Amino acid sequence: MRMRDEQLKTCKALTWVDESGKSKSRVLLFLVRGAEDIAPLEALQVACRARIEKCAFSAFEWHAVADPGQISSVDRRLFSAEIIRFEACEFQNLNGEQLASLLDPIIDHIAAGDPELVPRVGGAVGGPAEGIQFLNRLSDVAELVASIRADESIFLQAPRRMGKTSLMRRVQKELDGEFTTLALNLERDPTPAECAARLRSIQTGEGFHKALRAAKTDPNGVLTDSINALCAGSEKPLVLFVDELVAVFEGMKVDDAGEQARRDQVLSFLSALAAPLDKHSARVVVAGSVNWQAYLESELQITHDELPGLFSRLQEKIVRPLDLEHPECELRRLLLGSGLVAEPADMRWLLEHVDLALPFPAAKFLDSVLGETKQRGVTDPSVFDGLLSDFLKTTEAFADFDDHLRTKCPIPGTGDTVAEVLGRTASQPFGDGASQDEVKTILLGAGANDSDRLESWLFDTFPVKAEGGRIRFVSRLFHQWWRSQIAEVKVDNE
Amino acid sequence: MDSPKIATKIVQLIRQHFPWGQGDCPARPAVDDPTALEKCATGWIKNRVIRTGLESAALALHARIQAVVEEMPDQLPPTERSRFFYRSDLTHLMKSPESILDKMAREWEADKGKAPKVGFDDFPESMDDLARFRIVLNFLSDVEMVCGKLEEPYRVSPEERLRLTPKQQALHSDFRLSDNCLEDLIMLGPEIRSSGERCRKGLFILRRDSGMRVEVQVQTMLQEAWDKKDHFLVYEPRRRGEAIETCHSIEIYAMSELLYVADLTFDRLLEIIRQRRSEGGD
Repeated sequence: MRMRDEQLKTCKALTWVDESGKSKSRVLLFLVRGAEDIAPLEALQVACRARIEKCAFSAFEWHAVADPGQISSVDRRLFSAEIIRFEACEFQNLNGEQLASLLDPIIDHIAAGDPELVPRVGGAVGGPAEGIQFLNRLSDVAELVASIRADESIFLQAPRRMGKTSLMRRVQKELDGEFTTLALNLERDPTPAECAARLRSIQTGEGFHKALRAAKTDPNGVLTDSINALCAGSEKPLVLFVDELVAVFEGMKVDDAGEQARRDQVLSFLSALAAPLDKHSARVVVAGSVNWQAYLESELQITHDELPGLFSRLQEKIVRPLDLEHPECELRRLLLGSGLVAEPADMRWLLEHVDLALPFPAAKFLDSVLGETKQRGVTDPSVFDGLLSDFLKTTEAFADFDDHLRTKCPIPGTGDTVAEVLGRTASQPFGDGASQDEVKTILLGAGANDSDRLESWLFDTFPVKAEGGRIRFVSRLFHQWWRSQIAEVKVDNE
Repeated sequence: MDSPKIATKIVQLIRQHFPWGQGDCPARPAVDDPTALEKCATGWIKNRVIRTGLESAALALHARIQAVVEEMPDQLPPTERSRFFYRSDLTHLMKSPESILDKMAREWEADKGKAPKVGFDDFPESMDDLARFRIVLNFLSDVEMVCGKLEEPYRVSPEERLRLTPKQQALHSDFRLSDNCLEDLIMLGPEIRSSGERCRKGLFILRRDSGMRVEVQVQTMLQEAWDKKDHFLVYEPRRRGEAIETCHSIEIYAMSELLYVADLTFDRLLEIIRQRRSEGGD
């Protein structure tokens, strides 16, 4: 593995001049080092031409360039163009389909004048993935958008780091214009007063702290009034996106009130939220790593029938790990965006150990590969083994799965049973997994009545899938992480 | 007076020898219009050239040569490193379809009833200058120095080659050099010189696959200047079938000689200044 050599000069340039002047003109440089680049350079040009022709894109042109510093001598309009460099060898040994999968989106983004072309390692680490960093959940986006258009309200559930918030933001972006959309992050505003203040601040334009003073005296009243005013002020229906709803229920704990008082507080908060939303035919999308209904039932004995208005009608959608059509290309796309050039042996190692089924941990690990490569210049797969071992020992990226297992199992006392299933699956090679019959036998240990429910929770909560009579992990990193969790310490007796 | 009827010959070549309707060639247009015929032929030639991959091979060669040229300042005295200048001209990296047709027609002895020397089916293999680029340098001695470095890996024994720079070795590893040297069109005696063109010219051949060939010219800025003017004043009008006055041809040729003398003078002055510096004159 090495960093891209951006000092190379000779290249084939694909230029795009934005004649409308609305966005920046672009130059894609495919840098050439020697004869080994001839085949990939030819193949990538065929792929790009096919896309440009198929989509009837105009304003694209190819040029042979001796020095990118003098790109404006090719076309004066490229004087201030943004230049994006790749080495031609980054596209070597790829077939036409793989090249199309890698290059088509780049061409499309250029033609659309999008600001970013490829995702990069570290681009979404620590925050929701937006724009180009949002990886391939397009069918999920389409499904959610269709549900909302069909007047449904939704609960998106998945463990942390699965991409819920990113998905929600993408859906919000898709719906903007057609609906009035609003997003609330209740981890940031974890009390009814703060939540109400946030909405009031959005509605009136006044500062958050001023709104908070008003909201503290009557949180639910401010909440209802603000939503009513927001809906009345817009001709389009409202879609409210609420991230981590349970945080506000947790926030009510600090009041030191008794259980009944807290129960009433939760229900009146939900009613204050639901009433104006129902009144204005608004939709709500709730996302969370914790099933808020199960939480209310176990913590406050609030049953589904007691839930007010649209909160009793939320359609549950499970956010599953990414099942990528071209996993190798997705990985390569991330390397392209990060300036990492993988030799064939590096790529083999990466494909054996890493995938983007869980984008957050994968991006975190690749970030450490990027840091190491930047520091050392050139690294080889033996270095990755050490990096991976350190990563698995120290990462917090999978902590939420562990937390689910220990504290959020739907049937109390059965966490160990699920852990045994995960352990059995992890003990097998990644592609093999455990036999589905064997897994069913283990789950039956939790009781015949509960095994189906437990199995369903297993699939909804962990990155596993059933295929061909086997239960397999869908994330290689998670497979290795779980293996590291069940590994025994080797004791050297000598 | 020079008055070739090349345009007519091109149309005749297309009418008689273009493989109409064969393989991926277009069918003959219903109307025998010279412009339409030429358009069909140039379009087909353009696609054929793209499919050869020759342009990518030329870029690969340029990358290898550029890497060697960029090592040149290290060969110069420290006081001269900043003055080293080179420019690559990739503007006409691939010969245009029109020029290809022109060359095919020129070399065709139609009046003797012969088949074209270079035909539509074999022009990518038969033409040495289908892909070419130019490295332009400041002084005549720079041209010699660069050519020396480019020829060196082809001149030395395999053992000696290992002592050359990795960039010279990479050039040798990717490409052969025809005759193992760059042809010298600068130091040509008047008795054998047929035009004012002055440069060092090498034909590099890709070692792998089909052995694609790329022509490289190395010359001074003054030699390039003459070439560009000659192209506009003589080459292009002649291609269009325009007549060139003999007295003009003589004058243009003489300008090449004049600029050569200028190059020699600059090089002599450079050597004098270099000598003075090395003796501590400054």
